[in-house]
Amino acid sequence: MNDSNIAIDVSKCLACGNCVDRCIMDNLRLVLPPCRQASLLDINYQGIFRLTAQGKMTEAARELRRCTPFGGFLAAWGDASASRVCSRGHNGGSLNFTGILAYLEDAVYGPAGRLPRSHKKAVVAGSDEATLQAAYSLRMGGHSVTVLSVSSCPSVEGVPASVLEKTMTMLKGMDIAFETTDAFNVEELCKNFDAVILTGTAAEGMSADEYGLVRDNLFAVISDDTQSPLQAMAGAVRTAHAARNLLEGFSVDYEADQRVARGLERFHGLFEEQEDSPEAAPVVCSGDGFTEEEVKAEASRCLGCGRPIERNMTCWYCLPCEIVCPTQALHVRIPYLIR
Amino acid sequence: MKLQAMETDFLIIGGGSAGCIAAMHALQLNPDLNVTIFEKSDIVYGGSIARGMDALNIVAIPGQTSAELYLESVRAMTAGVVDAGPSYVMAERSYALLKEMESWGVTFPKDENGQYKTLKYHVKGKFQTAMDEPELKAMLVKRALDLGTRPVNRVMALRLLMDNGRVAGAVGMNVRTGQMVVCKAKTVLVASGGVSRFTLPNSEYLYGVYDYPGNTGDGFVMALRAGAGVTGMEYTQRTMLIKDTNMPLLAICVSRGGRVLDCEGNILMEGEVTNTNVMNEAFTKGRGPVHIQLSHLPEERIREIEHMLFTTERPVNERFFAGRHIDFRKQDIELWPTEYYLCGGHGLAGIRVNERAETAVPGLYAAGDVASVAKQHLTGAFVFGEVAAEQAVKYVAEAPDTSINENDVAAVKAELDERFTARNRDIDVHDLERKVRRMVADYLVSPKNAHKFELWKYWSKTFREDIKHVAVHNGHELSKLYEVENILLCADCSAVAGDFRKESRWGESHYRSDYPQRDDANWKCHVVIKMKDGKLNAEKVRVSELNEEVSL
Repeated sequence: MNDSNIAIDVSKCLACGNCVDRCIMDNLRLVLPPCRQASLLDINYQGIFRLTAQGKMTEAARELRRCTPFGGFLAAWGDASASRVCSRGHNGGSLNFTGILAYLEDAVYGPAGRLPRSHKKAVVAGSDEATLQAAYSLRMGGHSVTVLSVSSCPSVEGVPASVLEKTMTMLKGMDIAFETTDAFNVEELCKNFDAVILTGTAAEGMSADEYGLVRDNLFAVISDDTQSPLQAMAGAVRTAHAARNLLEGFSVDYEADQRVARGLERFHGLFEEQEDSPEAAPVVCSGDGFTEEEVKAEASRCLGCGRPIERNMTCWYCLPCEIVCPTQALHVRIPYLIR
Repeated sequence: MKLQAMETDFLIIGGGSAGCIAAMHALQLNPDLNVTIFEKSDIVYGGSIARGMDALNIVAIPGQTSAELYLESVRAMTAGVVDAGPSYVMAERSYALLKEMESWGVTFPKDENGQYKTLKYHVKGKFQTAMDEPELKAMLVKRALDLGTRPVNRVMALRLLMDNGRVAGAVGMNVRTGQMVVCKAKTVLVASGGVSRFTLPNSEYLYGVYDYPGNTGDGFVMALRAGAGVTGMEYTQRTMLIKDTNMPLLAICVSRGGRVLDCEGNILMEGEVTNTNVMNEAFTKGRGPVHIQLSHLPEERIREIEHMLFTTERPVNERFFAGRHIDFRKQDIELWPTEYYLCGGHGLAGIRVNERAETAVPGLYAAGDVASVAKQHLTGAFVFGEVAAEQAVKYVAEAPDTSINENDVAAVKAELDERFTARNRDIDVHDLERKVRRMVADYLVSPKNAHKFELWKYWSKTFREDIKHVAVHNGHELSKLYEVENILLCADCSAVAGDFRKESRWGESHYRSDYPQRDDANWKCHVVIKMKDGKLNAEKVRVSELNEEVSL
């Protein structure tokens, strides 16, 4: 599949979006694979599966961690909304998302990358998955983050104790402070911290706007019983984005339309060569979980539906897109008029 | 759509070479300063150097050359129309800059005697110093970000905001979402590049230009509207570069022994870039196209040239020459004139600045290709980025807080919203740009004359009307519309300045068929354009000597 100015080897593309981010002519957009489009935590499954299929388990786990530190939770819960829309669904059956994530789970815990510099302090009150998600999202902005839980440590339903423990160790390793208290005063918190996010039961009875803003520097992740844990975490991501805007000097709604701002486009449909892929039935687990050979075989069923496209035809053939591609999947052709 | 409001101490418009070094330097001087960069593209590779460079163009190495010698050289290259102060300061600080860049890890190759490799490019003195750093821009950005610079990517600045005559911030728009961004600032540095998309290149591909095509004169327009002067707009320049790609290679090849030949095989230059006008002359007199010959050079030298061309500056060169089946060992490289462009880095066009990077507007600084430090190249962008940072840090410490005039913001917003939401419009923004740039080439470049300038006035008016009929479907197209509007106003400046300067000077960069002679008695001066009540006015400003204030 060739555009006029960029050629993408769809068998290699991880759909990571590096090329789109670095293009200095705003020429490229990333067409999301359906799984990432449906994933509530914006997980780049295509990249993870492609790397897994090549046996690059460390890189696959790193790609998962780049999207979320909660890979262990996903492995326990599965990601039903993402796997439901897998293009393999019409061609042998969706990939076994849960099985592959479970295989990678051990390798997913690791240190955070380089964080921006910030003097701002934020506190997240609560003790569930949304609490942890909000704390992590804020920390990624470089801000110092304290998690304040009433009476007990955070607990997450449906996640094995060992996974929670490893996740907590990782978050603590990122310098997120965890404190427990008997009670707290919201007004006090608002005075002592630059931003306050209330989650779970701490947010009960609050009313917030569409960005989660209650007032001034107080935010709340409003959830209800009908929500899945992933939906609650997605709400925490949105609210933390707004709180980060506040801490970083933007108005709370800046780039709230994150997909347009990040150059992400909806899935348009499969390309011809993908539609012609031979049918491949899901790999069956021989034991409790996938073996290495099995997980590679299952991951290699990924059709790679996502890819960058040339949207604006403004290529200056300067090559950063090509240089930042981790798999050499992108090749800049010189525009025809110049060639 | 809602406004995005933010606040900063030091707002830098444009995250290229000048902007990034200014951010870095300001934070070195005052780590507590809040420094924000508006970058229209993405900061890591954004700007004219995109990735790396083959040389630091102007370095006065103690014991070899001097700032005085550079001043002589630049005076000769600008036919005397250059303010001494800024050029002198740049040359004087250039060696310290080289040393600083070495401390970042930038490679400056040395010869067997341990001396920096210098190449002749200027009429006097070997100021061009070889550099081999393919990731220069990314290195600089990393340093700026590590110190706490806040980059705001994909935001194009549209207007400066004023507070009782001093600058108070800027309004921009996100080029993807179309959201308007308002930033209140105590001081602003404009470092947004020249006008690369001024006329069409030979290839007729809108973005197939020599200089970074993101540069559309945004800074000239903002500064003019804020009350600053711009100069050198009649210096409409082009250069001889690789046919169709317009990628640079002249200095790289010729300074390493390459020959420039006309079509009859006469050698125009060899070993030194002495006078680029001889190439233009050969071309316009019908002895073109000119070629660069390398086949007479030893293999080792050809490899060195290939290394520079294919790794450091524009690596895509390798693909291009392979595609056209050109091997430097056998074939010559065909050169053609590029499009015309306006740029302080290579030419004379720029916002008027003094040796402190100040403009006529209090609190507003300019640096890089958008500033009028004649032929400053990358050295000037870096030095004046640093100079601007030093001044800005001082200004922030002394100046009282500013406030933003809500009515000014509302006016920009009304226009932006109207353009973004209007329906049933039928002019494609790319067509508009193509037509504007075609007319610029028809009427505003040499040979120029009063009749052509008169004809341009009709088109200038017509295009302003056409802008109201451009269909905008997304943030990207909206940003393109603003870009074309900026190109148009820069073209108007060029027309006014070109019409005003009733003489010929700088060879092909300003040749008037109705005033074919150089007239030093009346025109050895700057033509400065300022905007008053929406109208452009030209005036003569005398050239300043060393230790004399530059009149802004």
